[in-house]
Amino acid sequence: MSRITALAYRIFLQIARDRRTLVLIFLVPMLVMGLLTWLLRSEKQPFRAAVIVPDKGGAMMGDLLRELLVQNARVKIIAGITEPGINEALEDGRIQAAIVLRGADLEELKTGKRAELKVVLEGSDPMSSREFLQQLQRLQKPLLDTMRGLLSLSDENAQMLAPPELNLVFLYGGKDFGETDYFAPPVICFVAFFFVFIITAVSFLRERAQGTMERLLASPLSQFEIILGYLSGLLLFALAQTAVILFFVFYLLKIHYLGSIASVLVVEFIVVLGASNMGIFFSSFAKNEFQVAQFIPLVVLPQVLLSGMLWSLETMPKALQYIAYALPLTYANLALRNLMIKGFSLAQVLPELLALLAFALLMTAGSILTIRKFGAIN
Amino acid sequence: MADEAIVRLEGLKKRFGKIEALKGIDLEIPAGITYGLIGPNGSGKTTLIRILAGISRPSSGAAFVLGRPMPDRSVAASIGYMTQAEALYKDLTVEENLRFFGRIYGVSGALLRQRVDELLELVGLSDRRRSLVDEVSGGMRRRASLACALVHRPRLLFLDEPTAGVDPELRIQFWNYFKRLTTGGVSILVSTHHLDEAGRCDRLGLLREGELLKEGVPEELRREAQAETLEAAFLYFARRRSP
Ligand SMILES: Nc1ncnc2c1ncn2[C@@H]1O[C@H](COP(=O)(O)OP(=O)(O)OP(=O)(O)O)[C@@H](O)[C@H]1O
Ligand SMILES: [Mg+2]
Repeated sequence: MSRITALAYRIFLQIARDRRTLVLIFLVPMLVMGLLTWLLRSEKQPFRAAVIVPDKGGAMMGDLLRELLVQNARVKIIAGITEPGINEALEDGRIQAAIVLRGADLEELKTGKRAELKVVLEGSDPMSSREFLQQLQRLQKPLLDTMRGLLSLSDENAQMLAPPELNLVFLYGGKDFGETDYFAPPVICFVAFFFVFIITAVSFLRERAQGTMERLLASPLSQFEIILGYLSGLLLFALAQTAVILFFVFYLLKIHYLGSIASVLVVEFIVVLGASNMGIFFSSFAKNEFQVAQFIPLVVLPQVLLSGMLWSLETMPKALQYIAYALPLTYANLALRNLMIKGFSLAQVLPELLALLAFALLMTAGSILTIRKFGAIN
Repeated sequence: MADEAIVRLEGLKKRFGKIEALKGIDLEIPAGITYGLIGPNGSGKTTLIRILAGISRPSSGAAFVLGRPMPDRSVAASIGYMTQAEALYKDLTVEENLRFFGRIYGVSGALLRQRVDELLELVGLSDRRRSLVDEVSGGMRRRASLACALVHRPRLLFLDEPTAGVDPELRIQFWNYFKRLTTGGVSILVSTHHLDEAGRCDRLGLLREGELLKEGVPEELRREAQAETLEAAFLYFARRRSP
């Protein structure tokens, strides 16, 4: 019995003495639960759509549709967009979908002609596209019912009034793009980021713990050379890992993707660059493997929740969006989704690449500064 | 220039929070000798050597190595540093460790191969060269650690208790080798607890609680203390200093 208490007491002492662990044990769950609740409870940003009615006769049905969308679906109607301007508005994010209503002239409808409802979707987020389409389907019946009332047709004639013909157009992605296609890009870069971060942090820590860091610091190696050496050693494995993941995802899981694998590798390369330097930098602040393990929830969880991996940035509350744009994986996800779902070229994702590069440089600077200062346990 | 002081300390102090590990040390070590740093546990030997190796910064005062204030990476290539705890990659073999440390000092190719063979022979690890460091005995690790400090043929060697845990026979071999190195022009600063080894140093510094109690040729130290042995001399100087 006393032998067991001796062990328990020792563990108690060790954890109680490790102030950081103590703080994190209580802080991390609160942080995670807090973030999650904030995300889930906050009002989702509404879906932005434009309803365009090119011909005069359909104005009435157009207004009706707008009203129904605003009242019954979580949709915000964006005005001032014309049919030729749809693609531009979709691309710059003013709207996520445009509905073009044609042949909705009352007189013509009475004769049994069907109106045409063309829906142009941005499409890179299959989930919000699908949600919007479902809501639109659900509005068909109330729309028809109201129209029937307006036309004041006899019951017999009312049956003549057919639902409008739905015609879907996707700017990006397409009907066959599903959730997995949406989640694949962030998962690819998350896996690489996470492993490289952990591997670097732990191997750097080990270097200090076994005393070899002392020898490296006493050698002619500069901080920069140490970092470059580490990077080159790790990069081989990181890129091989990425290649295997990509092969698995594209050829065995048959994930849809556009663009080239080479550009995906370029993004991964920059992500790995940042992650490994972050590992070196952060390991300076850890005394043991235990403390490295604590970085995992701190580094990983906010990025899983906020980087647009699970919830698209657009639906997040504004305040969280600001936090999201301070996280490196947010840019990696944006870049990879643009490459793989929208089929963008590397030049088109340059802003995201620059943000990732800036993060990598920041972490490099941090690790160079800290290697000497904390590299040896003074 | 060659026989200028190879190490010069000027009022060197180092503190760790409340602990003052070095309390203002002035010292000059001439080139080409074996200098022994003697002192009990916690006297500041490792702290001093780490500053000289450019790993740790002085809190105040200065430490010059080969005329350059430390830390300074430009003298790093001339220094061989053997840490007190064997600092080796446990998941590499003895030979791979040696090759790695040789290569970061810019030794490569046939020269590296030749030096590695030579040193493995010297420390008696030729037949264990392909064993993982993790799998060799504690004393063998110390021997490998010493070899790693020598592989780039430094002019200046800082050895922090190189013979701790090494068996007597090999210890004698080590000291014979140190002698050979100094006759070849290498300067050695070695810390030790073994006062019998201290007798083999050309000069000694007696360190206690961060202070240099006494410094000089072993024979003179003994004479001044009128002591039979170095142990007795050390006790004499320690007692003389304390109030
Ligand atoms: N990183 C550190 N943080 C706090 N105190 C330290 C640190 N390193 C050394 N000290 C303190 O400085 C003093 C001198 O330590 P040092 O390791 O130099 O002694 P030493 O002479 O090498 O002892 P030993 O013979 O046991 O190796 C000790 O009191 C030690 O506790
Ligand atoms: Mg020591």
